Amino acid sequence: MKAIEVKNLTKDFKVKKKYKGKEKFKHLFSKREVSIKHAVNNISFDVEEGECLAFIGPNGAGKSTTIKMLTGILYPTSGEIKVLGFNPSKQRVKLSYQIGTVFGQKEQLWVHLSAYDNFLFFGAIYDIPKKDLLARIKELADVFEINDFINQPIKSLSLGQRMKCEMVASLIHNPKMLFFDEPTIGLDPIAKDTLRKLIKKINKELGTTILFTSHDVGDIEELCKRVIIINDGKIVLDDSMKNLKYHYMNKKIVEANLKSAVKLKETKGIKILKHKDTMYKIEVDMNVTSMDELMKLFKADDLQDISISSTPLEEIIKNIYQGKNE
Amino acid sequence: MVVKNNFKLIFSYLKLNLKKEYEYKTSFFLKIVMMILNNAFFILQWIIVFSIVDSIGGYGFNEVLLLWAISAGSYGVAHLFFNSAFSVGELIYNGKLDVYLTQPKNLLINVCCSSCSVSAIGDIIYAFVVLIIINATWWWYLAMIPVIIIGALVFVSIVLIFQSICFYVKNGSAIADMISSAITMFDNYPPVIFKGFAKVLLYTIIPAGFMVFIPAEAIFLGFNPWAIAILIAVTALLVVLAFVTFKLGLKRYSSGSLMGSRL
Repeated sequence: MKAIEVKNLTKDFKVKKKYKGKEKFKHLFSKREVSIKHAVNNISFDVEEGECLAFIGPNGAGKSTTIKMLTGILYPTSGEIKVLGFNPSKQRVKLSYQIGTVFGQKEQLWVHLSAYDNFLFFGAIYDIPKKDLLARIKELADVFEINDFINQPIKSLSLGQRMKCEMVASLIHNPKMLFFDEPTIGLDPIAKDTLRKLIKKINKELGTTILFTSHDVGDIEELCKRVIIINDGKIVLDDSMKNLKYHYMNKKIVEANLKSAVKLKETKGIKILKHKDTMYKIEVDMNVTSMDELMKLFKADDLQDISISSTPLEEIIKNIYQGKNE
Repeated sequence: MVVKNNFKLIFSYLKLNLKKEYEYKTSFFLKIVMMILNNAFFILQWIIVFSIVDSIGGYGFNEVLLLWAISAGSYGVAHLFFNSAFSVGELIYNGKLDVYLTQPKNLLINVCCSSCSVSAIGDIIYAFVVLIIINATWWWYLAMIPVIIIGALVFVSIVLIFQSICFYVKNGSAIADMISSAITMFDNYPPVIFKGFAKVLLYTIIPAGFMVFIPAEAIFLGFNPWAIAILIAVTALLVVLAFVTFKLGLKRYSSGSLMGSRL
């Protein structure tokens, strides 16, 4: 069954023209010119129940706007949305009983109150009977290991601890679907790792469908099996993580240290990225050439040290963002 | 069921907000006491006025203080239960309705109740202290409760109607702020001093008449069932209008990406 169905979704914003200098005075009392910005431009995609989908893109690409339309925060300009069978703009209240949200940049917890008090409040918001709520808080507190600081005010917690509490709050009503908008933003590597493990656990053990945005490629690589890349309001890639790696990680980076400086000649598929004295950084396009061809350029005796690595996923995604996805 | 759930929500917010404010006990009590004192200073003003004149259009010292009690009580209930109604425009302008929009509750009630002003408790206490000062009969104390609730609903509704302008005019809460200030400025003067256009204003866009004058004259100082019926009808109409204007405007809500937390 499909958890999300999106067809030809568009969201336009009106942008008023800003005038400078003398122009500003000329238009002081006249109506400013208005242009239309397509924040989301005719996108369509589906998400299966139980999937963990990475929905990524550069800043201003339209990913948060899309999430906001999926959760009923924003009305779409045109197009159709079904989330868990509900139309978010018409059935927002019914839908919100079934979904949970974590916005990394917008905390929903009350910072002067303890995490426990916050959870009690969220339980009341979702009309959870007191007995069930207490049991749920206990269960989640154990899973997320927050018992040590559950009674401390949110303001006194570290960012990682706060984010754990945000996640517990988003799970308090046992939602079928979770929207995580940059939940690992600003976290240190250890806190990030802990959070990733927890997200994985939620997805695998509870079968919760997750739509995930992040600028951290590590998050995406570790958590998601499918990735949608959005840029300039349009979907530029919708593929499995496996395919993404297979098709786009075809370039190898060779770092070689030679005994003496030699003049290497670039050939088809072999590109010298950096060269200093005896150190070489070379990109080899495996679709065009092979390592053998590169090795022919060196004398085996000359080679002092060599390392071969794949192009980092981050680089690949950056290239897709910039439209260099060849 | 829906009504029960919304009442539950309102009181859950109140409990949470008071708990939050009570974290700083001294400040909590100081705010209440200072508000009572602040209001009490105006009693001095009227003592001076009535030492010069006996009455203003039939309103003596006790009657004017009754207006004060209704005004302060209504203001107190409005700011205790629905404090965020007065900053809805700012929330719209800064795109801060997102958190409320993801929760399964009536959006407007959810937003309006999300904060409370502790000093508003001082206003409510002051309303009843005034009744003691003017030596009110026992049923005035009882009648004061529904009267200040109705007054608060009128006050909050008219402010919300104008706050919803922010959906159409960016940072357009100035009119709502002006209406709010105008109501508190005019509602404690004897109504007879307002004539012509001023009177029209006080029964339309600055509804101090429905908030204070009609309850004072139709419930406490006399009894006029027709006026009471009109008051209830107007209150219901204003509440419905507040919900409708907010809902219509919401389609134009553009959210925001400012970082923020709930204080």
